[in-house]
Amino acid sequence: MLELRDLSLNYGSIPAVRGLTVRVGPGEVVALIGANGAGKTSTLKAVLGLENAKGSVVLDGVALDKLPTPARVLAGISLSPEGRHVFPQMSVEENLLLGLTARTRPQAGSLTQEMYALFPRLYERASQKAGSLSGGEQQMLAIARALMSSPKLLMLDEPTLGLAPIIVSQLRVIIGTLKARGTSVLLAEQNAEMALACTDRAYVLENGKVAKEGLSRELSQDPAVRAAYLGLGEGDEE
Amino acid sequence: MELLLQQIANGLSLGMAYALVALGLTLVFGVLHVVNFAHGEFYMLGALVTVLVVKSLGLPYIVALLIAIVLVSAVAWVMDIVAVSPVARKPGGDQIVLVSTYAAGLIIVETVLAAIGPTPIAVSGFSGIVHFGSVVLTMHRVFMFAAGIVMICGLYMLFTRTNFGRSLRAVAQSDYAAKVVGIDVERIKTLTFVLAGGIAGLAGGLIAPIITFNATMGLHAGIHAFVVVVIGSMGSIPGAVVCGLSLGMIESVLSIFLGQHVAATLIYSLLLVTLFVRPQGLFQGALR
Amino acid sequence: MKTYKKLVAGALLASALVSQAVAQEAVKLGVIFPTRTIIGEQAGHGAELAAKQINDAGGILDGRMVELIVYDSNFSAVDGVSAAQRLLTQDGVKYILGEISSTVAFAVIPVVESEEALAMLAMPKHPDVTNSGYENVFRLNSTSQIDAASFGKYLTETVKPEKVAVLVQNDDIGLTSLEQMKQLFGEKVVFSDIFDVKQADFSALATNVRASGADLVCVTAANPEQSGGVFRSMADVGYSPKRCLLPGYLNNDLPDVAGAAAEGVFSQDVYIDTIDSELNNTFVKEYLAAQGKVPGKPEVLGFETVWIVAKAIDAAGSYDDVSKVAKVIRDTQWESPRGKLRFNEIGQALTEKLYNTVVKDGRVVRAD
Repeated sequence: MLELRDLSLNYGSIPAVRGLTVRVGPGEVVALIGANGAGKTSTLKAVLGLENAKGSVVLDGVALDKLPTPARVLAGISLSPEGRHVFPQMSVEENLLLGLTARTRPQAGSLTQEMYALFPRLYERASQKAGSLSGGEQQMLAIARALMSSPKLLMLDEPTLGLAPIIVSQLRVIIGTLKARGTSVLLAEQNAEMALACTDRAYVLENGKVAKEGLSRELSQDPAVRAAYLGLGEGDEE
Repeated sequence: MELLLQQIANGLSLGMAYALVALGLTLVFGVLHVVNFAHGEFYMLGALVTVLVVKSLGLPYIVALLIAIVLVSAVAWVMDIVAVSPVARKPGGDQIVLVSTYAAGLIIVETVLAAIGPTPIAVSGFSGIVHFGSVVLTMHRVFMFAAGIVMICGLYMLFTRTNFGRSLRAVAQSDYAAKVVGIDVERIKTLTFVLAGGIAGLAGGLIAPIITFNATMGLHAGIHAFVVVVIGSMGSIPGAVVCGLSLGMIESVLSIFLGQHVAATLIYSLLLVTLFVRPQGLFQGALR
Repeated sequence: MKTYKKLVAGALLASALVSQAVAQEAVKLGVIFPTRTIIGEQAGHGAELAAKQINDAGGILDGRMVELIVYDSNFSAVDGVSAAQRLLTQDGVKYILGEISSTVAFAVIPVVESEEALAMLAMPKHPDVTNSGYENVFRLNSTSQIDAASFGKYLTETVKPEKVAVLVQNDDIGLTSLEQMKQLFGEKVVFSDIFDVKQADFSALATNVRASGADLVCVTAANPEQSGGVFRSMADVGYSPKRCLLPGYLNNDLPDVAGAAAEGVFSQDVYIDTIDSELNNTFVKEYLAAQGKVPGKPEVLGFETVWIVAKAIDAAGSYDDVSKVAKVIRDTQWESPRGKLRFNEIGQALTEKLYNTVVKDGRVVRAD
């Protein structure tokens, strides 16, 4: 499905990602966890071609490295970016329509209905300006917009940042739904507890490198990971 | 009263001329976030093409208008490739574009001066006079106003009903988000620049029969358009239209009491007042 | 010191004779005009025609050709001065010809004086251009005072309006003419307005002047797109009083720009192409052949700058003796396409009279 081979990205002389190798299988939900600045967002941007990275991004056996962002979206990768970045002056519905690609445009109507079924709140606010939505609603909208391209791989960048716990648990439900639909998901999260709880596998990033990888449920039991990312010491069960 | 009505009618026609030139400028600012200092020259070129096509080729005025739109769009496209896209992409590029477009504008004016000289060239559009009660307007002013309304409605449809229009507004609101959803932002910016060129070309063609073509007409019109765009909030289409029309009316009506040059100068005073009181302009907000 | 100068002069003269014998070195005349404006372009064409006619007839000073070095003064004192300095110091020219603007002329005259050169100014209208105190300054155009006296007489004695409206451009020419009209007609001036020199749309102005009910509308606008715009907008609102343009500004560009709306607009000028004299007929014919247009005043005044200076250099028998050339200019009665002219003691060209002109059937013609 998606393979990142030896991916490296520098901002000027500062390395953000250093030789990263990551795999996401078909229908698999994978987390990238790590502290702020570990290289999660940079990795996702590199996958979508928003930043020029060295190394290789391969989707279903096809190298995307030469392709610009629009072609990568068309090929089946989409991103719900950190900070949501909805179009504030446009209605919810228009935001959704902007998520369409040339491939999915013919199904605009059914896709929109599908999103409203998945996110009923968006249906209620369909004609409202996206800028007037709450943070949680904007996050839903960003995810729904990303799904309008019927992606093979959906990347979610910090979807829980600044959201109330109730919305975070809604997000977990949604990720579960996506998995059930067979969409691969790559989730970048600082909230490691949430990320490990709703994914199959995870990579722990430190300073732009993979420090650890494994099944999410095993990593959530790993003492080092628990100490560093779950804020829990030995035997300190919540 | 009769005088007042006549001046309101004059003001609407004058204001539509302001709005037509301002539209493209505000569009480019809204989407590309740069000020195109050569915008007035696109307008001048539109007038030039119209005048030459009618006078030299003997084609009907309406055909000349269409040719003006096409040719000026093409010039805008070339200018985008040469002086806008490559510059704007660089860090701090939005400021360098001021200089590169200014230089491109100078080249356009000097080329036109060298090619056809400084002689003003008159062209007639639609002839005849229309009476609305006691108010008189030339047929051409009525046509220009109507064409302006049609164009504004057309733009509104384009922006709200088409994928291109939606993408354009998306880029205006957020470059980054537009990239994320897979919009080819560079392409949209180029097309926007070309569209603005076409609008300016049409404006020049529509206004040429009213004011007589001359090679330096773009400079003055460009400054006026800039004032309209700043007062109407940079990047706002409704702002450009409403402000253009209002300024035209204010100028015409005030000329009854204050005299022509005071009334004409007044719009610069309004610019200053706006910058002091409401620097973001009266219609803040990106393209809607 | 004096001997030294004489020696140098002698050497120069000798070398000049030598080079003349060898190469027939051209006689260089410096020409400045705002070459990228219509009026500057027109006057420049006139100057070129004079040089061509003189050269076709065998040149001056025993067969030397006249060569014009033309620079753009760009309606700017700064550009005018730098053009004059280049001509006088780098190009080695002793005669500066041309120019439209009085402002530029005021700035250039001191430069001409410091190089002990001669200025033959074509179009500047300000009376003080010939009052600098430097004796080698000449001016061909009539001054605004000469115009005002002549045109004022014509308006009060022949046109006799009841109500006068005055529309002027916002610069010294426009404002001066507004003052003159107010002095001339006093209470009869029922409406006056000032417009910007860049104004493009005159519908509001035309509406206001129509409301004044004036039976004579006098316009001062240097550019035909503006005078044309005013007259066209007046016609558009169905207002057709008597209309006149300040003397010196009516030429065929007005009917070209304003079409039928220019019919009947009258003025006065120092030249009109329908003057029937041999010199003028040749001038008009050759100008028409060269430029495809009938010449007007800028063309004839541009023509005169070269025509008179070249002939004066020839008559004086010297290029370098500027004072002698100046004396010839002052002492001769000159024949020009516009008739006979003389220069008074301060270098102002005087002709017998101004011609009444009017737009008829799309052309500016003599009215009397």
